[in-house]
This record gives sequence, C-alpha cells and structure tokens, in this order.
Amino acid sequence: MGSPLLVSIAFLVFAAVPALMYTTYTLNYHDQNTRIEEDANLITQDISTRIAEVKTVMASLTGLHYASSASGSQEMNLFAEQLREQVDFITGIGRYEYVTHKDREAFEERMGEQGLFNFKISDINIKGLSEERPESSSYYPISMLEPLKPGNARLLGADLAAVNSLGRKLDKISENNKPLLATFPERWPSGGDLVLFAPVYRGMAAPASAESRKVQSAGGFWISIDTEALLAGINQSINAFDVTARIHTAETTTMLYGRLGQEIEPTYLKSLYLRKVVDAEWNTGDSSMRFTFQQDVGFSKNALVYFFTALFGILAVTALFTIYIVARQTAIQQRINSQDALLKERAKAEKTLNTVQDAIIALDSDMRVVHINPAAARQFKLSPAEAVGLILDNYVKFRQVSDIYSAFNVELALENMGENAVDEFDVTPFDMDDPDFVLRLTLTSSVTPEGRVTGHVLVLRDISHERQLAKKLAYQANHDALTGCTNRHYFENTLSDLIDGLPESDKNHALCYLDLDQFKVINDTCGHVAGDQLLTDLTENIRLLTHEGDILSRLGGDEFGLLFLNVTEEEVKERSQRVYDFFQNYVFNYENKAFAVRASIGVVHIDQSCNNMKDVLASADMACYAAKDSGRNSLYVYSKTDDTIAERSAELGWLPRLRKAIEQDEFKLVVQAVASVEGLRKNNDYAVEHYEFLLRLQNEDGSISTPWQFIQAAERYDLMTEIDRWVIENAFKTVAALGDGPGSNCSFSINLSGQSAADPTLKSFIEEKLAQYEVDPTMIWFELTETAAISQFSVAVDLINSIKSLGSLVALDDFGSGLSSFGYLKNLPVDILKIDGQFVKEIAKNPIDREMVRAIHQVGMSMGIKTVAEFVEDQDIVDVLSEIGVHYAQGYHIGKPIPIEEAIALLPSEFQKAA
Amino acid sequence: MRNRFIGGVSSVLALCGVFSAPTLAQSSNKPTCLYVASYHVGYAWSDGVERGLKDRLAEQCNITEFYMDTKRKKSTENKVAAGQAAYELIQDTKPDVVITSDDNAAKYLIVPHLVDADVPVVFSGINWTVEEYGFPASNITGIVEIAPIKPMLMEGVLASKLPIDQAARAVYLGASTLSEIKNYNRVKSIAEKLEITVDRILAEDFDDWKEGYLLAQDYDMVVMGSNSGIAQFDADAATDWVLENTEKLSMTNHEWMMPFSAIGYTKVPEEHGEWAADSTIAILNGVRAVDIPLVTNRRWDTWINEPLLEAAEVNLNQSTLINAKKHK
Repeated sequence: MGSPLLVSIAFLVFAAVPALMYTTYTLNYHDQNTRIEEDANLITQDISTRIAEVKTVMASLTGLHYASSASGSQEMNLFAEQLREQVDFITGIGRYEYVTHKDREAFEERMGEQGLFNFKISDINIKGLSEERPESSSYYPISMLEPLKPGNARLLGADLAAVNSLGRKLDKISENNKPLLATFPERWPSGGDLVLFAPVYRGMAAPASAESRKVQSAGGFWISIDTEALLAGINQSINAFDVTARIHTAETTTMLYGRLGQEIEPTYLKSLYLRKVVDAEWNTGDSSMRFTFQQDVGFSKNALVYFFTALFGILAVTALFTIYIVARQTAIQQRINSQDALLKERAKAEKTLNTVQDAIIALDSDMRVVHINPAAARQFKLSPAEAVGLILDNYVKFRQVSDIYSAFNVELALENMGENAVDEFDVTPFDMDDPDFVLRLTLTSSVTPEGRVTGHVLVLRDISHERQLAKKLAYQANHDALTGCTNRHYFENTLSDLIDGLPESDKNHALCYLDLDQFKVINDTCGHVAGDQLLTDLTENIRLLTHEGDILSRLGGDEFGLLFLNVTEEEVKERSQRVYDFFQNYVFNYENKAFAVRASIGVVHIDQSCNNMKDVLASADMACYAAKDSGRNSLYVYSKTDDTIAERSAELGWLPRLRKAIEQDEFKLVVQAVASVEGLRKNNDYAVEHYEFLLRLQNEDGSISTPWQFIQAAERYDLMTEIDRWVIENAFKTVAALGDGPGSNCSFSINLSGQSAADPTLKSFIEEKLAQYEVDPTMIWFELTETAAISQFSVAVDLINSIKSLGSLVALDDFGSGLSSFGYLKNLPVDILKIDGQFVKEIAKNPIDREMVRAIHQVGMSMGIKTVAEFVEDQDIVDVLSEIGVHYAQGYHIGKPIPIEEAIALLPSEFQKAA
Repeated sequence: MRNRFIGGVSSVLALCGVFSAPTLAQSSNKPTCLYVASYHVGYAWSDGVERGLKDRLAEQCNITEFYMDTKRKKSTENKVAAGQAAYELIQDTKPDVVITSDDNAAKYLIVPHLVDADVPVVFSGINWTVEEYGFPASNITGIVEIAPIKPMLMEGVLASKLPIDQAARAVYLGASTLSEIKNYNRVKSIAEKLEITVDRILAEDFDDWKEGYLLAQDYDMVVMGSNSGIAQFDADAATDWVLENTEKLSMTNHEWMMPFSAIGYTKVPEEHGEWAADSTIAILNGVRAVDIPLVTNRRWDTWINEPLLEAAEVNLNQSTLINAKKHK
C-alpha cells in the first residue's frame, strides 16, 4: 500500500506542483505586467495633460503680457484669477519683475501709487517674516499675486533673487528664454509647491539673442502647483502605485512628493513579487520634473484561483488514486478472507450435514452426486465415497405418493421448477412396499444471477409419522370420540355443502333430528357410564338403519342428526318412519335394568327453498320441539304453515326484536298505583302510597307490547337478565327525577324474573345504580314471582337477603298460584305478599276465594308480612279486603298502568306536595 | 459678570452710538471681535462691508458691533465722543481683534487710541490713502478704498472715438463741497496720466446742477460726482432732466448717481468686509498684523443706463455691454 502512495506524493511534490507554480507565475506575471504598463500609460497621459494645462496657463499669461499693457494692472489680476480657477491644482499665479538697484526706489514708489501703500522689496527671513531686502545689484520682486490673501500677501515685494540660487537660475532662464521648474522655500507661503517660472521681456515678443534678452528682461510669471492635487485627479489606478515626484536640476534633486500605494494582496506572497517601475518626465531643459510609479507585480485573483484549483485538482486526483489503490488491496484481502471463511463454513456445513437426520444429496448441474450425507447413504444403501460422481437417477428412484404407479423424474421436476428455486414433493422410494412410508423431497437449485444453474440439493425427510398424525387429527376433528360416528362439526360442514350445492343440483335431501327422551333419567339413575353405553349402542343400531351415503352424526349430548342424501319425499317418509319404528321397540339393558328409550324426531326436507345451514337446523329444532310438545316419542315433519311451528317461529322472531329494543332503548316504563285499603274505605277516596313499575315495549308502528307477549321468548333466549337490568336502571332514574317533588314520598316496586333471581351479580348492580342515582333503598320494593322463587329456592333466598341488606323490601308476587306456597313461605324472608289476582277478582262473590285471601293474610300477619291484593276492580272488592284487613290494594279500580307523569298528576293536591 | 458690565456701559454708549453684544450662546469658546462702523445700520455702503465681514467671520469669532453714527451726527464733538466710547468699550471688553470701517473710525478711534496698541486692528474703507493717518503701524493692517477711476476714464476715451491726435476733454459735475473738491482732484490727477483734461462744475443747488449739466454737454464726456450736499436736489426731476438734455457720455463712480449717468464703475463694499475678515482670521491664527500688507480694493461693478446711452448715441465695446449691470 505504501509504494503507490509514495509515488503519488513524489509526483505531486517533485513534478506537478513546481510545474504548476511555474506555469501560474509565468502567465500571471505576463498579465499583471501588461496591466501595470497599461495603467502607467494612462497615468502618464493624464499627467501630460495636466502639465499641458499648466503650460497653457503660462502661455496665456505671457501672451497677455506681450499683447497688452495690462501686465501689472488690475486687469491682469482679474485675468490671473480666472486662469487659476480653471485649473484646480494651481495654487497661485504671480508676476515677478526685474529691477536694478538703480530703479529700486522708483519701482517701490510706483507700486505704492498702484495701491500697495507700504510696498518694499523685501526678503522673507527664516521665520517666514518679511524684512527689508539688503542692497543688491538687481532684484526679482513679486509684484502681483493671485489669489491675494492676508496669509500670502507678504509675498508681494519678496525678492526671488534673495532665494538661494534661484536668482541665478532666473537670470539663466531669462537669457535662454526657457521655463524653470523649482520650488519656493518651505518657510514661504506655498512653500514646497512645484513652481514653474517663465521669463518675459520688454517689447511685444521675446528677443531673439541672448544678449538682447539679458538687456530686455522684464522678470516673468510663476505658477505654483500642488503636486498632490495634480496627481489626485488622474486615473484611479494610480492608487496602486508607490509614487514619487522629484525636481532635477544640474546641481540638485529635490524630493517634492512621495506616497506609498496600496499593498498588493495577498501579502503573504509578497516576497515572490517583482517590482515594476514606470517614469514620467516633464523636462524644461535646465530642469525637469520626474514622476516615478512603482508597483509590485503580484498575483491576480484569477491566477490564485487557477493555481489553487489546479493544486486541489492534483490533490484530489492523488487522493482518488490512493483511495483506489487502497480499496483494491482491501478488496483482495477481503476476498482472501472470504475464501478462507468459505472453506471453514463449508467444512462446518459438511460436518453439520453429516449430523442431520434428513437425507441430503448435493448434485452438480449434470445431476452427478457431489455430496451425500450419512443419512442419505443409509437411506439409499450407498457408500458416501462411492456415491460421489454417480448420476443420481441410475441409483435413486422414487414414486410420487399422489401417483404411485409411475416413477418420479427428479431431473424433470428440477427443470419444471422454473424460476422457483425450491419445490416440494411427497415421494416414496420405488422399491419400498410400505404404503405409509413417505418422504418429503425438497428440491433446491443454485442459480447464478445470470440464471445459470450450478447445482442442486435434494433433502429427503421421513414424514410418515407426521402424515399418520395428521390423519388421526383429521379423523378426531370430524368424529365423536364416544360413538365413533361423525360429530357436529362434520355434520354442519356437510349440511352446509349440501345446501350450497342445491342451486346446481336437482337432488333433494332431508335432515332427521333425534332428541332422546328421558336420557337424563338413565344418566341420573345409572350414572354416566350407562349413558355412554346407551349412546354407543344406539349409534350402532341406528347406523344399521341407514342407507349407503346417509350420514349419522352425534350433535350433542343426546341429540343426533341423520342426513338422508338424494332422496324423494317418499323415501324420507319411509326412512324416518323406520327410525321412528326402531325407537318404539328399542330397549336398553344395563345391569339387569331395562330402559325403553324413546326419541322425539323432527324431520326437515332440504330442497331449493332452504337458504342456509342455520335455518335448516333451526327448522329441525322446531320440528323436534313440536314433537316433544306433542307428548314426546313422536315424529314431526317440519312445515312452515303448521301452527305449532309458527308459535315456535314467533318466539324466534322476538329474539332480534328484543335485542334491538335493549340496544336502542325502545322499552318504556309505566306505573300502576298501589293504595292503602284502609284509606280507601274511610275516605271513599284513595291514598296512593306506592307504585309498581311495569314494562312496555314501544313498537315501530306505534303499538305497545306487554310483557306476556315477549317474556316467554326472552326467558327462552336468556334475555331476561338484561331486560331486568334495563328496568332497574330506568326505574331508579325515574325515581331520582322526582327529586323532592310530587310523588317523592311514595315507594316503588320493580319486578325481577326467575333468571335474575339466579344472577349472582345482580346485588352489586343494584347497589351501584342506587348510588349512581342517589335513590333511597327503602323506597324500593323488589317483586319476585312465587314460581321463580320456589324453582330456585336457595339462590332466591340469597338474593332476598342481599336486597334486604341494602335496605330495600322484597315482595313475593302472585302468591297462591303455586300449590306448595305456604310451605316455602316459611323459609322465604320476604316483607310483602302480593296475593294472586285469581283469588281477589271474585272475592266479593265467591266465599272460597274470600277465605283463601283471609288465610293468606293471616299467615302473612303471623309472619309480620304485609299483604297486597291484586286485581282490585271495584269498590265491593275493596270493602271485602277491608273487612279481611288486607293492607293494600292494586287494580283497575285504583288505577291502570299509565306513565308516571300522568300518575303524579292524578294525585290529590295534598299529595302532590312532597312531605 | 462681564456681560452684566457690558449691559451697564451699553446704556452710556447709546448716547453716542449703538452697541450690540453677542448672546451668551454665541460667546462660547470663540475669540471676540469688535466691529466699529463709522456710520449707522441702514447706510448702504457700510451695510455691504458688514455683510461681507460677517459672511466670512461669523463662524470664527463672536462679533460685537458698535455704530458711531457719524453720518447722521456730523458734529466733531459727536465724532470724538463716539470714538471715545468705542475705545472705552475696547478697554472694557478686551476683544481679540478690532475691525473698523470707513474713515471716521480710523480718524476718531484708531489714530487717537489704537496706534501701536496691544490689540490688533484691521481697518477697511479708508478712502484713497492712509498717509494722513500715519499707517501702517505695528498692530494695524487693512484695505484702502479707491474708486475705479482709471478704467472708467479709459472706457470713456474709447467710447468717445476722438481722433487719435485729439486729447479728450472731460468735466466733473458735483456738489460744491470739500469732499467733492478732493474727488475732483483725484480724477484730474489720474486723467492727466491718460492725457485727458478735466474741468469742474460744482453746484450749490439743484438749478445750478441742471445748468451745469447743460454746460457739460459741450465736453467729450461728463464725470458725475456726488449729489450729496446739493440743496433741493430732486431725483425724479433730475432723471427727467438728464434724459431730455443728454448729448454726451456721462459716467460715475457712485452707484447712487446711476439714474443720472450713462455708465458707472462702482466699488464693491463686500470686498472690503471679506478682506477684513480674512485678515482677522489670519491674525487670530497667529499672523502679525504688520506682516499683512496694506492693499486696495481690486474689484468693481460696471453699470450701464441704457436710455442715457441711447440719448448720448454712444457705442460701448461689446464686452462692456454684455457684462455690465443694467440700471433700471
């Protein structure tokens, strides 16, 4: 890994980077140098333009001098002022005159007359103050100054000849008629500025000869220039240069201006930059002004971008190359590791295969054995070493379980697998005689991504035991363990299949439903073993009565179903009659006891009119029920028009209706008043002290159903518990709604069914609802019918005690309707007896009824139980009850069942107010 | 304390002049300058001087003004008293620079009290010469007022279009006062250098002046002196008179005489105020007054009165016609 990386780095360091740097530097230097030269050209052009402007001003001044007599006059001042304002870097314009000592006094007088009252040729001392000029052969005093300011006015009269060497230079330029570039001394106003002097002469033009110019000299003009201002207004690129301005004469060089330019970025590469120098010169002959512009040739942004982009590119390529090399070596190493791991896994797999109980044979693509594990070698009696390389079909042959007469072709099966890499077959070795020996053959092919088959694996597992177990389970699922005949599961599936097939078939069938009579007697008297024996014996006998194809199933404890397949009505009649006849003579003997076992038989035809299995079973049940109702041991054939069936059907019809009424709250409560008999007798009026809640069902057509219409169906289908709970909750809700208003001082009774009497959770329900609606338990009576209490005596006693523990009272309803009433009453801890109405309604006319009521009342009195008479329909009955001493009366004479709001409204006014 | 004192002396000063002190807000940290005007507020010339002064100096200096009012109170006693009052104000307030305008301030304040004093003095508006006041002095500088007589006369010669060998003849028409006699002498002196002869007509009253104007039409050009001092001078009548009787070019150095003159070359009072302001600033910056030379004004305004030009049938050069201000 290290070698290619080192090569990459070496390439980068020794070849690519220096080459890149050299290329970048060369290209950039050329570009930058060109740019700087262009900038410098622009700058020198601008400077030349500005110098030309100065020369023009000077030419204007000298021209005016020669053209008019205005020189030295106020007109010249105005003219100079205007010229100066045209060029912003000219700081001043002046006139100096040539004066000999002989003319000095006259000159000073003349200047005084022109308004410079104290004009004297002067010298400016080292402090910058004006003082009298000592005598000299000649002078160059300044006679005009523009702009004239108090700050520079002392220049008026200042003798330029007094300035070191300047006088000699002015003499010289006067002789040569050439301009001069110089500076004023630093102490002077405008000191340090560049000053251009130009000579003028007497006359209309400069004399031609030097001698004449010396004689005709009239001084000259000067223009002072702010060098910085001159440079400030030119091309902006000057800011990038270091700039110097120097005045050169034969004797001296004076530095006039210097400024460093902007530093070239990036500064960290500054040591690499070369310096570019450009000069611009203003030569007047004896003097010159030289502007020098210098700048480092740095790197442009483009060059840097190019350099770094290329550098990063080289780095990236190097990095990618290195990554490729490393990745390739890693991949090779991984492949070696994988092969090692593969070999290890293969050895491990072979070891595992050798321990597997399933027979495993690995084939190559030519169906030759590559590997065979010990289990397979045993199965096919081959030596593992000898088997390798054999063509499988020559040594191993199978038959498919589903087609035991022909050989199973493994190669063909593999070809037919197509894209499925795995397939399974149940086979048996060709030479195996045992039909229960079955192998589960799993074929697997190894296929490359390109679709090429590289080999196959055959796995053979002995599934004989599994198949036997599955068969057994299937049998058990469909057969009755006791009798061996098919069970209800099988029967219903078969029946359902038959009904489903009716539309496509013209065949009819029949169901014969058998329910043994008094089977309970045998179980109770002889035990369950006898019962089981009976069922087994009976099954064998009935099976003898069936035809081939008929199906006999045990549907429940003592219920059997017999399906007659593909039969006519006559055949049904004949076969069912044969079954019925069998039972007329059948006697079951057990331990020297003989039982005449009979059955109720319901028969249903299964034809095109049948909708589903449940309807058919329900019809059979109804037919069987009808047979039982007709005195048992009978045969009843189902007919839709039969009254008995209709009644049974009607009960069935209530089932969904009652369900809906419970779910959608379609029941309603009414109340019937219970009044004090004594109150009725005394006031010929009545005093209602109690109401009984009665249940009603609101039908969709507006009619009302009373409990006697649906209570039998509700009890048959175990709905009474739910209905009773609905009544309890809604009664409590009604009582609670009375609050402290009318009727709140009355008590109320609620009826409980026999099914509720056996409900162990009823007490907690009542307790919960009393608390929920905050109802006083002492205001509530619970009524239990005598028959319900007696039929479930022990649980009824528990319920009564539970209710009484809550504080409520318990009334025994319809007392007297049972024959053994008094005997049970002794042990029932009830609080109230409601005397059955059959003894009351004729009491005024029938003395026996009267005595019956009296007896009941007296028994109740002796037990501390109050009595209520039902069916009180007239005043005569009230009078008799009063004579007997019955405590309360209930019946149409007191009030019919009505909604509670109406009942409350009927209360006398004094009762409408709550106590 | 100082301001209370200034308030006290101001009432005394009111007897001879008008004094105004800077406000407290103005007096913060700036040097103080006392401006002493020879005349009063409302006098056109000195108003112009003051305007030029304050335009440049107000931001550099807290300026206190004192008006001697010698134009209206002409008696010598009043002038001496005004000069004395100004001097007392200087002693009391000790300004950093004293600035004066016109001759009476120089004559009655500077000469008797301030020559070679500690306080620097900048004068302006002194007519023609400083010789009579003995200037310059170690603490005094300033600008002298000269009328642009020479260009005026040169313009007149050019416009007269006389034969080249004929000298021009001019007449000076002014009031019969000492001041006008001085003015006449200056004009005559300059005119002689230009080879122009100048006679004079000095009027006592308006009639004299009108008659003099008729006589002047016999000359090549008429120099209109000041009418100050001419009794019963009626400006409207004079305007009509000159318009009816003008035959020759008339010229003046006084702006107020432009209704009766065809051309005018007049001084610019602001130039004097501006120079005095610049000098004051230089002094406040450390330049000695003696190092600032005395100068004269160098600017003037050129005027034309077109109806009178037409009446005189004079053709001025085009640059003058284009650049000159027109008198309405």
